[in-house]
Amino acid sequence: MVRFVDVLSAEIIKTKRTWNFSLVLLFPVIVTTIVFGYYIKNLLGEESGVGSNSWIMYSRVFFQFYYLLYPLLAATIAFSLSNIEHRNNGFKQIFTFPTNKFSIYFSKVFILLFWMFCSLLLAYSLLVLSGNGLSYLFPQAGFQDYNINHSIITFFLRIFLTLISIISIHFFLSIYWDNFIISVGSACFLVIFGLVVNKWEYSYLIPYCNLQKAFIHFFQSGTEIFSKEILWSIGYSIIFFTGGYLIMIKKSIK
Amino acid sequence: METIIKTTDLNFSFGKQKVIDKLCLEVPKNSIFGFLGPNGAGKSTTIKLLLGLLHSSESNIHLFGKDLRNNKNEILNKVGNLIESPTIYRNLTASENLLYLNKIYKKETTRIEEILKIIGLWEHRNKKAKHFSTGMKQRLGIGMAIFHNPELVILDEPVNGLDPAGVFEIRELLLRLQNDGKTIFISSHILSEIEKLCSYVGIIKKGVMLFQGEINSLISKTIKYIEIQTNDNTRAIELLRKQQYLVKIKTNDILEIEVDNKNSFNKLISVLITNEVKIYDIEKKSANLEDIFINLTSN
Repeated sequence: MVRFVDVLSAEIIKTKRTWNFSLVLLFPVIVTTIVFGYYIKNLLGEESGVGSNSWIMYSRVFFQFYYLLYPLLAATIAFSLSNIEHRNNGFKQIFTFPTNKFSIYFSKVFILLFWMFCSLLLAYSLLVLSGNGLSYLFPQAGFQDYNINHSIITFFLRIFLTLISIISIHFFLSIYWDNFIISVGSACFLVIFGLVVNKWEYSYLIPYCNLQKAFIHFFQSGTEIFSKEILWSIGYSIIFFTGGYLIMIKKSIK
Repeated sequence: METIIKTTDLNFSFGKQKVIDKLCLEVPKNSIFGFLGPNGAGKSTTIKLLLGLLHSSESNIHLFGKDLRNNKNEILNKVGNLIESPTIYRNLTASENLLYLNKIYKKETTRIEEILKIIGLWEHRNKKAKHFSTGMKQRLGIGMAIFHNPELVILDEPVNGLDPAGVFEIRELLLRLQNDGKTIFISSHILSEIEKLCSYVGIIKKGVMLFQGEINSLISKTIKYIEIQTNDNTRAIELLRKQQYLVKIKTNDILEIEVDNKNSFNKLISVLITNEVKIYDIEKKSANLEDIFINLTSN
């Protein structure tokens, strides 16, 4: 019997040179570079927001990028991973391996969650590092006067738990349809839809609303992680990952 | 004789369309078994059933003497396959395509080099598979099928896209594998290749097995005939028909006569010589696999 870890290492080799995965790591680097550069320019021009919490003001710019664009990245990597098999007609081969389909499917899920986790960890690290860098370079900006690390971590954890559900939905769609428009196009639509209906009383049922809710939660200095909407997101993750698995095992190889 | 593949009254339908109908297949151990049939005969479906990619509702597929449904992983560990177009990850190099297989099958790392040399892609080991020609992809597909040194290799159209030298190399490779004790189940449209390679054949049409057995026995069962040219074909026809020979006029000069055995042939010659019919040319003919295949599948 082939072990899960062997299947996982085989799956990791398959993702080699899939640039969408590199993009997930590149994204926080790009955002940090832009925001950090923008802040340096403002601070040199003495346009700092003296009087307000510098960390909140600084993080806010990052988080606006993150809550809007991370769901699209999540959909893109979910599509890319599934597309590796669709494009190379790989399902027929992996189903003839002496291993169970459970290991194959969940090794793919593990890869998706691992990449997303690494990207968010990098985003968090870059935010904290660059903020501390600004504190060192521009003491007058007042970064050293505040510590909101707990709120920042809470934001990233909430984003991660929400992104798991979004990955599950788009991985499900990508396993079923080998279609970029359906997978990533639907993500664009649902992110916008999430922004529009965010104030609806039942919006906690829509995972795409939770990203903005995490942003608002951050501004309210909230530290609760497993709120109602996050629990719903976890529920969606379980449902859609299970659904994707069932679709894969029933996949017809004609 | 030990059988490696055995199906008993195997049935399979896509919706209401019956694709495989009571198929009984027996592939002897250490044979090269050619599986033939026209397009849509059910060859690929049979192969997918044998590999567990499609599921039969009954336990009527046995490989290595074990029920496929209950021993799938154990069986698949001993089977290599190439179904239709090879599954090759185009972003990976030839080496990486084998490396990922090695993560599953846990062979020694020298196995990658060994396979690349066998399939003649050692010099292209660091080239991405998306830049490979069709023939190179086919070779890599075969290399992937035999990577884990399986006891049974199932190949669907393995010489597709290969040039004559490539076809020859693959033939030699398959014969080598047979000498190493492997069993090879091969489906192909190239009948001349099957005839050169296979010791056993199965011919299928519309999901029904028309014939299976030793290729020599199949050919020996077919009617043999001779083609003959004489100085007086009209008289030759008259004389031979009196002796109950079946004579056809192939062209103006050539007669085609069915001859069952050596005695019949000897008698035919005697009849013509004693009646002073001069024989200018005589050629013995027997049906080849292609003739038999067309004959079986067209009727």
